Amino acid sequence: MFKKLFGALTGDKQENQNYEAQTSNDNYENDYEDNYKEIEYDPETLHGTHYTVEDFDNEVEARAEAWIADERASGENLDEKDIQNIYFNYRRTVYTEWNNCDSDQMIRFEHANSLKYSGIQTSGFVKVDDNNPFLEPVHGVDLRTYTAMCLKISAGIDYLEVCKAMGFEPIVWEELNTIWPQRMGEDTSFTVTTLFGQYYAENVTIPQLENLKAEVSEEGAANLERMKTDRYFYEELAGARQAAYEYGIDGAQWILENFGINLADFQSVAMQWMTEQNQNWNSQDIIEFSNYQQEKQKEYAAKFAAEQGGNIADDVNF
Amino acid sequence: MFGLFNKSKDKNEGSKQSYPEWYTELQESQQRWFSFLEKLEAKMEELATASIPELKQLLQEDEDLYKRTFHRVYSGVNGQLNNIRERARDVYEEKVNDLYYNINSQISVLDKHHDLLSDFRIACSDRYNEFDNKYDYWRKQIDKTQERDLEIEYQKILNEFETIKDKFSCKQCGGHITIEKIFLIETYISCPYCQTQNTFAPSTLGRNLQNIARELAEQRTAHLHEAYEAEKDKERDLYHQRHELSLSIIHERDKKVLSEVQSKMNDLEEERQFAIQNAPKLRQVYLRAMYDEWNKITPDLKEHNEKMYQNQLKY
Repeated sequence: MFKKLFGALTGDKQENQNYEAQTSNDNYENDYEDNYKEIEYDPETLHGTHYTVEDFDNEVEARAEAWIADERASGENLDEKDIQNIYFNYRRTVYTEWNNCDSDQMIRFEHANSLKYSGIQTSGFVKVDDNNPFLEPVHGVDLRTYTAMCLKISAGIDYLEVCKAMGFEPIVWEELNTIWPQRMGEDTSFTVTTLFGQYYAENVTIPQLENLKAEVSEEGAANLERMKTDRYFYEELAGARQAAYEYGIDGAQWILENFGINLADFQSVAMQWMTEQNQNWNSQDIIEFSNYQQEKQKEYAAKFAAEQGGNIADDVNF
Repeated sequence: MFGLFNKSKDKNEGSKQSYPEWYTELQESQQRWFSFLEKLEAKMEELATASIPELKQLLQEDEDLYKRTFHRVYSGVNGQLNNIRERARDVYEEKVNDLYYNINSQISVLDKHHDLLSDFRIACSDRYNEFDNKYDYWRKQIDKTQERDLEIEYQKILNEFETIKDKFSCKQCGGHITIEKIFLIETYISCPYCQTQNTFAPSTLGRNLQNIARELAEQRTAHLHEAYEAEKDKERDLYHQRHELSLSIIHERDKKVLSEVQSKMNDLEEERQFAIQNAPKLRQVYLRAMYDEWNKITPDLKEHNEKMYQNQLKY
């Protein structure tokens, strides 16, 4: 079995004789960086340019099918999900081997190819087919316009104002706001949802809605700008918001009152950072930011607790 | 309550001199840990018993369609519960684990007293599990405050519909318009006499039907969901039963016993295979029934729901 797992590569693809799949970054750089040239990646597919995508897919298939045949021969019942998992794992193995890469690069590759291999879109790598029926405009309103309207409404502008600016009856908005979310639910590739998120992150606007501006204080605008450029500041506010909810405070409202940032802008920046994180996947950064957010959440939790006269179990000591 | 603790205390009686000096520290820490958790448990109980009736009342009185006030308070209560759990976790790390590793690094695993250290750790971690189970219990009790009998709300919506459905007239000709069904969003209705389009805006209560429909359907089909979950759990359960049997015959030489156990094991495996095959079928039965109920409650969403049903079958 191991021969099958690791042996299929002895052909002409490369000279690399170390077939161990790397799943962590530990010690990895040291082992390889001196011996191999840096890999060039196709910017679209993130495949190494030293092989073709077809070769890659064939290799994965050959290994996966061999494994599947083996499993079946030993009496295992494999369902569709098992088979998908087997392919998924071999894709990781072959990609890591052929590119001598770390797990971060492997994950970036998975993100870039998630639609092709898993049928699911990943934010930051959305690929749209021209004839996707889920993206047909509704009452002449496409997803981008719908998102622009949603942004205005979640920024606190009355939906009737938004309808007026768009020149249609509220009834149309209600239908849009039924049909687009329904499509998001029905679309198993998540194209509608991820694209909506992407537009949301871009804070899209359309000419008809340009004049509708939610009231933002000077301080709020400055905070918003900082949140967009300073990831640590974003993490702080995200932690604060979470802490607020844990103390029975409406976190979104609290952010608006204390930092002048409305829900739409906050979510938009959150999406923007998430997309950025997907595109430049780096596990070290992710851990760093996540720890920072937790630390900040604790700080704010202590503050809220103090305001509320402490936590219920504060007087319990070891 | 603290049987483990008492036992180790008893052990200590009479033969004190034979124990290493760090044993006193272990005992003390264990005692503190046990009583610390006991106090935290009392706090959890206090918090839950005080907030559960309040939450229930709040849910009933919250006029907001989305029950935002309720959810805010609910989230705050859970926050406090989490806070208690975090206290336990931090203290466990600091006072139990650290002490264990500290002493462990000083003595060999072959040391004749090492089992005192292992016992300490096992006792503390068992006690910790007990605490966690209580946490889970209270968490679930608090979760349950979210549940409300949606039949009552549904009935309110139906009653309202009955009273309003014949009260509309055309804005153009004044002709009588009957509202045929519960509309979930604003809808154009043509006047049967002059064909003018009238806009019908459903009430807040009527609109809410869309929000409660799925949950109501789930409430009505909960027994089928439980049946599916029970079937799903059988697989692991039967596997373990069979495994136990297989362990029990490792040293068995009696052919008759062996064949009896083997035949029991075969039966269990057969049952297990049946459960594996049957669980997805029960899931489908549940989903179909749930969607049927849902479609009955909101026929307008049927087309969409059927697509969702098809998608859900695949996962």
